[in-house]
Amino acid sequence: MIDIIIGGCSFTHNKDSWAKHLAKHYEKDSVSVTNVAQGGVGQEHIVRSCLVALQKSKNKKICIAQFSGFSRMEIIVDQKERPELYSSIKMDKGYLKTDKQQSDAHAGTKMSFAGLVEGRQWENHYNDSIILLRTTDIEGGLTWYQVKTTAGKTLDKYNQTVGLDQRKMLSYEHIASLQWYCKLNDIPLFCFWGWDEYNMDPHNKEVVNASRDLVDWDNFWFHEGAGGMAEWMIAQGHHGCLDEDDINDPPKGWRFDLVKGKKMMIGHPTPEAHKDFCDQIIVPWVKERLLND
Amino acid sequence: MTSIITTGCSFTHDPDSWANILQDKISNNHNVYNCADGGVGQEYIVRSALLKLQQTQGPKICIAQFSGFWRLEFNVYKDENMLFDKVITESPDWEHSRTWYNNELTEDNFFILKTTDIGHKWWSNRPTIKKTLESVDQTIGPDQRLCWTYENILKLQLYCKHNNIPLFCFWGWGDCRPTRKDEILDNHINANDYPLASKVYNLVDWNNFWFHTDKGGMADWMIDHGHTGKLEEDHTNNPPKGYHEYDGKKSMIGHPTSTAHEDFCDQIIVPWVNNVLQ
Repeated sequence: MIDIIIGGCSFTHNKDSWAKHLAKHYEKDSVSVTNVAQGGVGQEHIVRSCLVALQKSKNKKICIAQFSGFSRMEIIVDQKERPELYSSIKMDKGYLKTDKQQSDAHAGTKMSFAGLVEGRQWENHYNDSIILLRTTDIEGGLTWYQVKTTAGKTLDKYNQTVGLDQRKMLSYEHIASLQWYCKLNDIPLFCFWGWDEYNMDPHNKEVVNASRDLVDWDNFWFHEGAGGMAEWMIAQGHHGCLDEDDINDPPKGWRFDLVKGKKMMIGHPTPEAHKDFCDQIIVPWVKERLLND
Repeated sequence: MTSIITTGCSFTHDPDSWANILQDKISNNHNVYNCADGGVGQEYIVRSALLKLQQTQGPKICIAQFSGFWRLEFNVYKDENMLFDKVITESPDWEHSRTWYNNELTEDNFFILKTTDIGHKWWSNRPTIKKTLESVDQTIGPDQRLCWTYENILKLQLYCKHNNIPLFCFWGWGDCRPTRKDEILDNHINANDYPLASKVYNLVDWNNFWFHTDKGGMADWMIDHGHTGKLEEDHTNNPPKGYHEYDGKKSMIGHPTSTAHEDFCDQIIVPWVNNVLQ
């Protein structure tokens, strides 16, 4: 029996992601696929989830980690530790950002705190007493929370306190930790970015680059130098989900980025793009590892 | 020649600390580099060691003293953080907070904001810092801080194992993390109280961690060997004793005396170093 432990953000957690296709590919084999990815999370959550799952598995295993935005951080709000903050966040109705999200959320009875339902998906299980607050990508201006809500205010203050250099150092250190753990335990590891993020120069290059140099970039898959899964998909003619494209009319699922001089995906990849990525990139790598075993 | 990289908080950074006298107790063929800093927590302690270890060529060993799990640091740059201008008008502990990562980087446009420990409110008369750090303290709970503590220890252990660098780890004092009675007895943390940290706890190699008796740190060893904290830092007892006693257990007040550091260095650190260097 081989356990495949998969970590990532929504690019891996979403129900039609490459991880689901991989599980389907191996459903008749003695291979178990455990997907511990979670929407909106950063490297800290991704690596911790992988490490805990790898430690738990007693079988032979391999690990596939999709990494996400540098600036993403998560705050654990535990009802036992922070009862007032917890209940204040839980009581907020304006948790989701757009009117459409809110009306969709309120349409379902169990979705009265829609965002919180996902917010309470924590460490690969649902826990009603814990909320996972996520900054998501502050560099791109993407926030999940309305500014005036308790969640929004809490994250806004935190975002103002923790700078990008520190977030980048933490990001690199987490990736390096997963690589060291896997090397020390002879666990084959496949790492890649979900997408090629805007990578602004750090304020203190010397210190941030020292953290960057901890990562074994030879053990990291790139599409054409710096690209991730989304760039590979775009290059194969795929695009993002059209219902997430609020920029183009009619929606295209991509935009042309003048700074980078290339097409960039809007929103999450389509199920077709995920299947193609799984078939062409992930499955061949897994097959090789299984043959080597 | 072997480079000996030491890291920790003020318990290791102080001028008369075990780390700063270690060079005199070992062969001159070896070189001690102390990258500890006052008031810092695990993130700084580990990162400063990693940076120095990365920079250092040739054979090396590492000695890491870990500090309070509550401690967090925030790197504040003038260019990226609006707090900077407000904070400098409040005269933070300036020199302490601007020399960072191995004392090699002193920048005019930068400082480290340190929460230090629960109950330590060095910032209480500084409104912007107070507001910022209180907000952090109200947001980031004990479970997450303890989890980060263990993750940082794990990070250094993994790096050292991966690079075949002998590593000696210990707590500055036993209460660096929650030490309820049952935890002390079981040598384990309670998963109900710390659901997140308890998962990461099991990833740390506790066999590669020095304890005094079963869960104590350097200060506990010193107290049990008849030492005390610096008397001038004891504002609790009159006359000062350098320790307080609770439930039959003595705990150090303030920082260790130079005699205590000397004894700890001679009896615990030097034997380990010599053993590894052989």
